[in-house]
Parts: sequence; C-alpha cells; structure tokens
Amino acid sequence: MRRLKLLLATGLLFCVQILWAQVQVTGKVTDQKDGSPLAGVTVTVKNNNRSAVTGAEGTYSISAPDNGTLVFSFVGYATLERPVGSVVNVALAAGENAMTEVVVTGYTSQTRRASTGSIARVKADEVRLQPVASFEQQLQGKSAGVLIQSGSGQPGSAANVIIRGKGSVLGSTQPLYIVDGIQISAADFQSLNPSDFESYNILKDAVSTSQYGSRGANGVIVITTKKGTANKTRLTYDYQYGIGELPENKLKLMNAAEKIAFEMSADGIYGTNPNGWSDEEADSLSKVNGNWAGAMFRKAKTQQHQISLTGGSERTRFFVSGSAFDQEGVVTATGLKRYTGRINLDHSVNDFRLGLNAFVGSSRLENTTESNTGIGSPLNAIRWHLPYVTPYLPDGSYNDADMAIQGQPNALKELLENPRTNRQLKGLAAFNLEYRAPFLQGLTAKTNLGVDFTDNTIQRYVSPTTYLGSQQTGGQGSFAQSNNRNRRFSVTNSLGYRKTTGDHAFGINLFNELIQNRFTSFGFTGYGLAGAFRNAAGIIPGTPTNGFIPTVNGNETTSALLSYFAIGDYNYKGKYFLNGTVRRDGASKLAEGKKWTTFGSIGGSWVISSEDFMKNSLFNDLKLKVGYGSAANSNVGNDYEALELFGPTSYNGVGGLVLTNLAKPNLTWEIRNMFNAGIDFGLLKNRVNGTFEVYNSVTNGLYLNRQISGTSGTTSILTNMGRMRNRGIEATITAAIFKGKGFNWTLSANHTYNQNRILELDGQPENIDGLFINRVGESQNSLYVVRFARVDPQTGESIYLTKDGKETKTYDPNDRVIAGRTDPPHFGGVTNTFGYKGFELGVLFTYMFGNKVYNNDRTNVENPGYYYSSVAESLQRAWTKAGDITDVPGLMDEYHPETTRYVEDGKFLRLRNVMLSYALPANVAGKIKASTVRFFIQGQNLYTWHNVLAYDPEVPSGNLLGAQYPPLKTWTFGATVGF
Amino acid sequence: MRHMKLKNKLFGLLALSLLAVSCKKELELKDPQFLSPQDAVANDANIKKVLLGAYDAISSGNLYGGNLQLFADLMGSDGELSWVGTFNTYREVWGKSLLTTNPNVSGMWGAGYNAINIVNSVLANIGKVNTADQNRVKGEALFIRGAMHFELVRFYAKDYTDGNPATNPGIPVVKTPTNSTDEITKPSRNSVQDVYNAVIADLTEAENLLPLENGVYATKSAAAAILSRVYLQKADYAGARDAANRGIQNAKNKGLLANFMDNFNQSTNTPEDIFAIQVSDQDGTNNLQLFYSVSIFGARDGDVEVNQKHLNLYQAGDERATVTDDPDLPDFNTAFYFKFGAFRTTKFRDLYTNVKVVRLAELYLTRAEANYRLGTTVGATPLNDVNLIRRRAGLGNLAAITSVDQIYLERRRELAFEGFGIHDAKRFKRTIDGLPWNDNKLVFPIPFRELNANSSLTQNPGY
Repeated sequence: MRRLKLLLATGLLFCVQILWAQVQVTGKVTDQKDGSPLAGVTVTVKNNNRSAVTGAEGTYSISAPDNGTLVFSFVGYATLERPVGSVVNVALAAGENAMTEVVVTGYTSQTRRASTGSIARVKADEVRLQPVASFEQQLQGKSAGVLIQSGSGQPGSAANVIIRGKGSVLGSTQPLYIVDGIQISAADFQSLNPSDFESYNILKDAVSTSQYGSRGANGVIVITTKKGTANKTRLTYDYQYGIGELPENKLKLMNAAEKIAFEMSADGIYGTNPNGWSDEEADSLSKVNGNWAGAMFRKAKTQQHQISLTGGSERTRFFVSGSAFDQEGVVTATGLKRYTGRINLDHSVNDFRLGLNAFVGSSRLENTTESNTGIGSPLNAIRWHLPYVTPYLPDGSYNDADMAIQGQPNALKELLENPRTNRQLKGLAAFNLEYRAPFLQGLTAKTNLGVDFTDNTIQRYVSPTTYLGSQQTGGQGSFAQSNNRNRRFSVTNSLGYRKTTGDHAFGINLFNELIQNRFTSFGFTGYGLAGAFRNAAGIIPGTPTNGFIPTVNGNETTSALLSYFAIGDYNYKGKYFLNGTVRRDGASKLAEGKKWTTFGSIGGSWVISSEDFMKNSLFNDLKLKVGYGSAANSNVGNDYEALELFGPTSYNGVGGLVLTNLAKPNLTWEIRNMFNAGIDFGLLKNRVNGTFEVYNSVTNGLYLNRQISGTSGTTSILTNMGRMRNRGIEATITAAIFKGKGFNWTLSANHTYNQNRILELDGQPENIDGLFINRVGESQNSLYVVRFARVDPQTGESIYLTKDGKETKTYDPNDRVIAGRTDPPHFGGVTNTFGYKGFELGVLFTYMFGNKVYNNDRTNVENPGYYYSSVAESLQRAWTKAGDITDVPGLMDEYHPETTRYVEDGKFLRLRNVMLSYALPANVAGKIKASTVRFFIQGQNLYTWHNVLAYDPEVPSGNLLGAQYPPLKTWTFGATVGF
Repeated sequence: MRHMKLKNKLFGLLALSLLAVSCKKELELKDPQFLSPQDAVANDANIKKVLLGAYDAISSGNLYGGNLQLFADLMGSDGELSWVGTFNTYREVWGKSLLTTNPNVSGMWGAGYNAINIVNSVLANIGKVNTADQNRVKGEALFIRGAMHFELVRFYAKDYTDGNPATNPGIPVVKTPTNSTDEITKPSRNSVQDVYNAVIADLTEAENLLPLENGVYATKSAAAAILSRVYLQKADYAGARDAANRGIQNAKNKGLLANFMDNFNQSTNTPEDIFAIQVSDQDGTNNLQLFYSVSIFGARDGDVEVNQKHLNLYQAGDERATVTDDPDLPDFNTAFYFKFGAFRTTKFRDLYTNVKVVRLAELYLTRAEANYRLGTTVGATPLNDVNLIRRRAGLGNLAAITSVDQIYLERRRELAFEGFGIHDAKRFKRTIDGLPWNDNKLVFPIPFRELNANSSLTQNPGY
C-alpha cells in the first residue's frame, strides 16, 4: 500500500515535467536573523504550478521563465517574492503576527494560519522565571481551556492539569506530555529544567490530538526545546533568589487561653474538663503559647543558577545548558535540589540532517506526607496539637506531653526524626535523522528514536523514638529503601511528501510508531533501628524471636503500543485549508480481539481576511475553523487490566494465590469524540488579536467502577459503562491598549466556561462513591451529602433536611442530595503588561468560580467528640443552653460530618504573578561587553481572595482531606546577563 | 531517467525497511507477577495455593481477623462494654444505630462473599487435585463456605427462632464462582431456613471429609464445632449436642490448658485451639488487639473499655476476673488490667497474636447446655462439663445445675469478648440495652451499596 503511494507520488512528478524554454535558477535560502540555512522552504513560480523545496543546506534549484517571479514561503516566516535570475539567494524573516506563528503538534508543524485545530501556544520565556520547580505550574492562567490547579506547594510537586474539562472519571485526566517528540511522565517534572524549553503547544481538540490516538483524549502538551543558532556564540546567565512563605490560614483554631476556658466550661461526652486539669494547671496552661506553626514553618529560600550557550556554523548548531536549582520548602526540613544539563545538537550533511537532544537531570527531594488524615502526618499534627503544649521542653528535647494527654505524637519529632528522601535521575534523549530526497523534491523520510529514563531511589527512615517508629513491625522504627526504574523507548518512522502546484498545495505524512514501557521496582524494609545510623547500617538483623524480620517487595510491569497513521493537509490558494488524520493503535493492555482501535479527525478552515471583499475591512486577520475527530484515554487500570489474574498472597507464612482481577474481555478505551469550531481574528493592524472557540466533546465507553453484587466475591469492577460530555466556550484576547513612544500597555485575557455532564451510566441512574456521586444529567463527581439546615435552639441538635426538604433531626444517608460540583465551570487569567523605556511590569491574575469544596480538614477540628483535643475557634459558638441561636450544634449532638455544613464555595481570585523588570540600555550594557542585562523582582501568589477555611482554595479532588501543603507566597529577585 | 528510477526503488526499499516495526508479538504481554486462570486453577499445587488464599480471605479484619467477634460483642454489650473510640462506624454497632452506608457493615458482607467465591473456585476445580488430597481440600473449602454463610446469616437476617425461618429472608446462598465479568449475577436472598440447610449440608460434608489433624487448617473437629454453633443457634439441641460431642471426641491431641490465661496472646496455636486465625509479625490482622488493647501495646487508644457491669458477672476467686493495675509486670497473668482510666481485657493485649475462632472450652459448654436442655448426658453430664471449666478457672465445683442460666453465665464468663455476645443473647431472648432480643436494630442492614448493585435484594425491616 505504502509502496503504491510512493509510486503514485513519483508518477505525479513525471506528469509535471513541462516542455517550455526555461532558465534554471539556483540559490540558497537563509534565516535573516542568524544566517542559518533554511531547509524545507517551498519555492514556487508565480502563476505557474511548478515548485521546489530547499534541501538541508538551504539550496534549491528550479527552472522558471526568465520573466517570472519566484515565491519563497515557509512556515513561521514571512513570504517573499523575487524576480527570476540565474542565482537568487534570499533571507527570510521570521513572521511576527499571530497567523505566522508556528504551532507544533509533535509529529508535524504548521503556521497558525494553516492550522485547523485548537492549539494554544505559550512561549517558555514568558513564564520560565516563575519560582516553581515543576514547569506546568507556570502555565496557570495563560491559556483558555487549560485548567491548572497547583494543589500542593511542596517543592517539585506537579500540578493538576485538565484540558477542556475532565474527560474521565476513573482514568487519568492529565494530558500527554511530549518533549521533542517523545513521551515523558508527569511524575518526573521535578527533574526537568523549564529554562531549556522554547515553547509549550497545548493541543486541545481532536484535529490535533487524534494524531496521538489512544493517548490523546486528555489533550497533549507538546514541548520544544531550544535549538542552537548559527552565528556568533552567545552566552546567557540567569540568577534568581527568592523567599517563600505560607499563605494566610483561614481555619482558625483556639489558642491556649481560649482552649482552656472552653475545656473548663464545655459539656461533652466526657463531661467538663475532659483532660482533668487542676485549677493551677489550667491557669498556667492558659498562658502557654504552643506556637506549633512557628516551629514547623519557615521562610523558605529559593536559589537558581542557569547558564546556556548557543552557537554553531551553517552546518552544525548547538545549544548547551546547565542549571542548579535549590528550593526550600516552607515546612522545615523539606526541599528540592536539582542539577540539570542539556545538549541539543544538529548537523546537516548532503541530503541528511541529524540531531541529538540529550538531557540529564538529577534531583533530591525531601518531603513530608500531605493530603491525608493520619495523626503521624506533621501537617495534620500541627492542627491537632493542643495549643497549650509546646513542641520542645525547656531543655530543647521534644515534648511528648501531648501523646500522654490525647495520643497525639509530637509533629516536629515526627517530621525531623523521620526523614523522607527521594532521589531521581532522569534522562531524556531523542535522536533524529532526516533525509530529503534529492531526486524528488518534497519527499522526506524521518526517524526519531527516543528514550525516557527515570531512576528513583526512595528512602524512608523511621526513628524508633517516634510514634511512627512504634507502629513499625517490632516497634523500633524501620528503614526502607526502594529503587524503581522506568524506561520508555519509542521509535517513530515517517515518510512525507509535500507539493505545491499552482493554487493547490498538499502534504502527506505516513507514520509507524512503537512505544514500549517497562517499569521495575525493588525495595526492602528493615526493622529494629537501634544504632546511631539513619540508614541500612542501623537495621538489626532479624531473627524469628526478635520480630525484626525485614520485608522485601518488587514489581515489574510492561506495556506496548504499536501504531500506523497518516496525517495529511491540503490548501487552495492559501485560503482554504483541510487537515486530516487517521491512526490505528494496537495496545498490549486490551483483551485479545479488542487490541486494535482506529482514530481519526478532519478539520477545515477559511482565511476570510485573504478574500478580496475583505481588503478594506477592519480585520487584517480573520479565520474560521471547524474540526471533528476522536482520541482515547489509555491511562486507566494496570497494564494487564483485561486479563483474569491470580496474584500472590500469604497465610500462616505460606504463599497462596488470590483472584485479583476478573477477566474483562470487553474492555476497550474511553474514546472522546470532539467537535471544535472557532474564529481567530486580528484587528487594527493586529493591535487586537483573539480567538473564540466552542467545543463539544463526548466521552464514550466512560470507565467507571460498576458496583456489582458483593455476592460475586468482588464489589466493583472497571467497566466501560457510560457517556460523559464536556462542552464549553473559550475566549482569548490580546490587545495593545496603548502604544506610545516610551510607554505601552498590553492586556491579555482568557476565560473558559466548561459544562460537564454525565449522559449515561449503562442503564443505571447513578453511581455513588463515598462523598461523590456520578448521576446522569449532573456534573461528574458531584458532592453528595445530607443538607444541614440549622441548630435547634431548644436542644442544640442538628436539624437536617430530608430529600423532600422537610426538617428532621434524624441523619439518614437516604436524604443525601447533590450539593455542588467539584470541577470549576469558570476559570481564566488576566495579564496586564506595562512597558516604559527599559522597565516592564507584568501582572497576572487567575480566577475560578462555580465549584464547591468539601472541607474534611475542618470536620476533624469541629468534631465535638474531640473537644479534649485541639479544636476550631468556631466551637466557642457551640450551643450550650436552650434559647441559644447558633450555627454550631451542642457538644452532645450526634456528629455527622457528611453534610452541607462542610461544603464550601471554591471560588477564588489570585494575584498569581507580578514581575517588574528593567533592561539596561544597550549602550550601557555594551560597556561591560554584554548584549543584554536585565534585572527583575517578582511576586508569586501574592494574595488570594477566597472563602475556603484552609490555607488555599485549590483542591483538585474536591475533597480537602487534611495535611494541606499550600502553594507558597514567594518573592524573588534576579538578573539575566547575555553576552 | 533509468538511474533515477533505480534510486527511487532503493529509496522505497529503505523507507519500507524503516517502517518494519510491526511485530505483532509486541502486543502479547503477560504480567510477570500474576498467573492467568489457566495456570492458577490448572493443577494440584496451584489449587491448593488458591485454597490458602481462602484462609487469608477469612483472616481479614472484616471476618475472623476480628470484626465478626468484635461486632457480636459490641452489639450485645448491654452495658458491659463501651466504645469510646473515635471511629463512628464502630460506635454505630455498639450504639445499635447502624447506617446502611456503614463501611464496616458492607466490608463484612463483601469479605464474606469474597471468601465464598474463592472456595467456590476451588470446589469447581476439585477434580484436578491429587486424588489423595481431594477429600481434605474439598472438606476445607466446604468448611469455609459453610462458616461464612453462617456468620453472615447470623448478622444480616432475623434470628432462626424469630418468626418463620422458612419465609424470613436470609442471605443469598452462593455456590458457583465468578471469574469473569460475564459471570456476574444478582442473586436474591434465600430464606433463613434455606441458608441454615445449606450451611448444615456444607459443614456436615466437611466434617466427613476432613482429617482429624491438619496443622492450623480446618479439621473434623473444627467443622463439628461450627456445626454445633449452627444447631445451637437454631435451637436444635440434639444436633448441637451431638456435634459438640463429636468435636470434643475428634479433637486429636487437644485438651484444655491448665491455666486459663495461657490461651491468650499466643502466636502459635495451643492444644485448646480447635481453630484459630494465624497472625505473626509478618502476616495477618488482629482487630481484637487493635481495638481492645492500648497504645503502649501497639494498638489504638483503647477504643473498647470493659465496664464494671461485666466484672460483676464473676465470683470471687475466678481467675478469669483477676485485675492488675500494672500490666507491665513480667509475670503478668491477670485477665484484666486497668489503664488509661478504664478496665481492659488482657485476652487481646499483645500484637501479632492469633485470633481465636473456636476453643475446646466452648464445646464443653455447648454440650453441657444442650444435654441439660434435653435432659440427656451424651458424652458427659452437664454438671461435669461445667465443673471442668469452673475448676480450670480456679473455682469450686457446682453441686448441681438447676437452671440453664447457670450454664449461660459460665459461658459469658469463659467466652467473654470472643464473639458470642449478641448471638447468645438472642438465643436466651435477653433484652439488650433496652431493646428486645428480636428488635430490628439488633440485625445488620443489608449494605446500601449491595441494594444499589443488586436489585434482587430486599432491605431488612427498620432500615
């Protein structure tokens, strides 16, 4: 088949051999900026259907009538016309307006003008100075349709990224990440250096994502890294230093005096004075300031050095960079250190071009547990410690008094004595080879070989002196180390042909791809840590009597994806564009007979502004586009989900087998069918640019855990059982509001509305899972709780509402109703940039509204059963006697936290980033032989307006479990010097 | 032109060879850590491993790993125990205020049927087991299936003697395995009587097939012991008496320990254990330790407290009622200790110790009760059996038994906290915490999620 196409293409060439008298023109096309040769530039003869394409050295040869005109066009560059001569060398200038911007889909690249899909592009340089270790955090608020929730301020933690609404309930909703053509895992972002990146291309609709077939349903973020430029070697050095601190805590707890007064008057299940303080004790304790937050949190420093070197000759170009990043966590003893190196090299020889992009990063992360409800978690412990207990005794040793009073282990001791370290070594390498056939212009063959390698060493020391240590086997601490390795190997081969004849231009690319993934892990836990060592050396050898027998564990899992696909494009007169993709994926994960799935898309666009009737219009750019297609989400369950599996178990020290996975012969992908339509426009000579888009995407075969009768031996099973829709509107607008001599002001804003609806659950009306419900006609994972109405002023009991809205004092789970959606329907960002001479001020606000958060963290400090422990200030308002009008029930009221009392409004407005920078005038910079010198001061997350009783309102899961490690408020200062 | 064509062909070949990554076997991957069913239930050795997995399943904290026993005593506490822990879901059992969504209630149901499903797989493939071992393997599987159906019907349905067991809904009796999504069914509830009949059939066959000795696994005596409980619960005293008697007679190399407290806090079975769940520091769950014991012994914070009302059951001099203030004494051998403001039972003090399912002492007391009720002396006189237990506890002989309540009192003392509370209370028609023995609140609800997932099920009255 493929051979046939090749022959057809060859045939075309012969058909266009034309028999006029001609001049043979030769020449070379270069980049105006750095003089490097441009390969792949289309050279056409005006008003004629003849064309040529430049080779690797930028050279071309074409025969043309001697009075003709040559047209040079290339994606991302302004089109140029030159009269025919014997030698015509031209230098193309990179295009500057939105339409000539190049968008990259990973397998192909196009100008925005030619693109028919929905692709947002963020230049890495706009955001790279933000003081976060994980690059995707920097994209917050930058593009419509892309929801980025920080969730955690722990150094190195990745954000939750959702493109155009959650397309899955059980499967991953994270997009696919591609760097230089190879897939990388979101878990490893801590080891990457965002300063190496050139651009982020966010593929949002099927016209772009169907190219990724079974991996594309959640959208794709395609990252390109910086390339070398042929010119004189340039060196750039960046330095930045920052200080981060905790945002305001809105969940206020009682201080010592308040707590003692409360205990002495409270009438809970253990009566008044549950901790049994004498009057003298109560008096002295009420004067103590435990100040756990003061002992546990700190002002956290961030430092970063980054150096890069670029240069090369016409044939060989390079980009080399190195960086060091050191970020302290705001929680004492946490932090991330990272060192990275990169080399991007490319070389052209004859008809070949070869390149190698290689990266290595090494990071060391010291973290603490978060997002859980354990008493051993230091971030919970600081909320649960009695305010009149201090972290340390006067002699500087840990104060364990709270363990005796209420069984609460000392948070500082748990944190400092039980270090948790993750070391990661990350390697990325992509080798590519391109061949441009000299005998058939426009024909290319490419191979891209990539490896994504991650090696993790995770160490957990649990000191025998801590509570966690007492919980270990043998009760004397433990030391655990696990090593895991993930290797993803991919090979992509392609054959492409591009041709322009007269008003018609088309391109076709055929691909074959194989991606193999192998994960292996091995770990051990040793018990009985008696000695001075905080590592494996401290483990006491286990014997049958001392109870310290170590445990070992390991895992190995593999997957493979084999694909064939074709991507084609066509345009007529550069005004009417068509794009199409067909991809067939075979996956190891699916059951026999279901392994192969076909995906596809088609998109069209019309550049109205190029029509004659638009000549004198307000619009200098106006484009209409529409597209439809499919992609799937393969990221659910384990690698062998479809097979019936028996796994290992043990009883009485003997190994046994247990059925761990029912056979799922019908399991297929969740397939998302996406429709997209939009307008791109530029007004007033591109002073105002914007995009409006609408989309409708329907996930078919939605994965849900079908609740099955427990009599089957299993209670739920992963099933393709539903349909879910996301539809929405996106608006992006950039306007040069004021363009003066010295002063200019640019506004850029985006807003997204996304409506999520479950359409079908395989005949069932709903699927309830704890606090959440998936119900037909409602948003996925909606909160499902009983409505709390008020407190009975006579008895202090909670009054709930029944399903029908009648008041009742009986809590009944049958009265649960939907209390709000957890994913935000509205979100966006607004950037204002002001420039004056060398000064630039950028201010970014991000916001979201329409979602609800369940505050489980609050339920723990408002539980009247814990009134002897640390509790919220609000319990001071608890009902005590008949006639009290209050919103907090009496302490003897039966406590049911799964009510609307703990459902809070998740809306917020965040001053995400403010950056003031100043560039020295060129003549001043020149005095130190520098080409650019820039200083900046930056504030990140400076303030957030919100009503969630917590540190931060962003809770991606919709349930704020506890132990929140919020995103930090950070100030940084820095400088960039280029030579 | 000729030259060009040749080159073209060469290039085409080159391109095609590059495109040759198409080996289909790339997609035929198997999980290296798991066996497919063809391998798992294919041969003698693996079927026996699956059976071992069934023991692991019944050792779950939801089942014999503790909750079956703990919930019987919390629900039947009648003021003798208090749940003071923070877990609301356990408090609901103690307070008789169960919600249909209680995760422990659904956990017990799910775990029970999980174990039943495993043994059904074993039974479906029993022909592949070596002939010499077939009886034993089948007997163990039937023992587990019978015991699980019995435990579930006791908690989730009306007592056998409450109303008409032939019409009262019991629980679904499941006898076929589910291995694939195609095999999932939605069975309805069999009547209480049907469930008991199925349980008796399984346990009777198990008793016939099982060997006298079988390591820590099910034996003839263990099957007889559970069978005696089944008969006792349905007030078939002759059946209970005979099963208990067989259980005693077939308890090979077993016997009462000289010292009552030596039964407990053991990580290996004692000669008095007819059947126990094996727990070691490497493996297994002991929820009784977790909730009855206290933090200094690696448990939670002493969620269950023993009240004075329970201690009042004992006579002076009873070794089963001794109390110490200092549980850390090295030669510590008392039945209770006082710590963190309350009495605690010592039976489940230490981490990594076995969980009792049946002790020989129970069989003597069951035989005594059944003989007494029937006026028979099968195996021994009721007085002899009761006095055997009393003497071991350091008490004097009774001169005569004048009421079955005397035997019940001895049973409450001897088997306290070992999972008899609510079940025995229903047999003796006692009022529990102000509720009549057959009150709806003394029956677990059918879990909400089960009703949701299986439209054939009906809810119990009162929920």
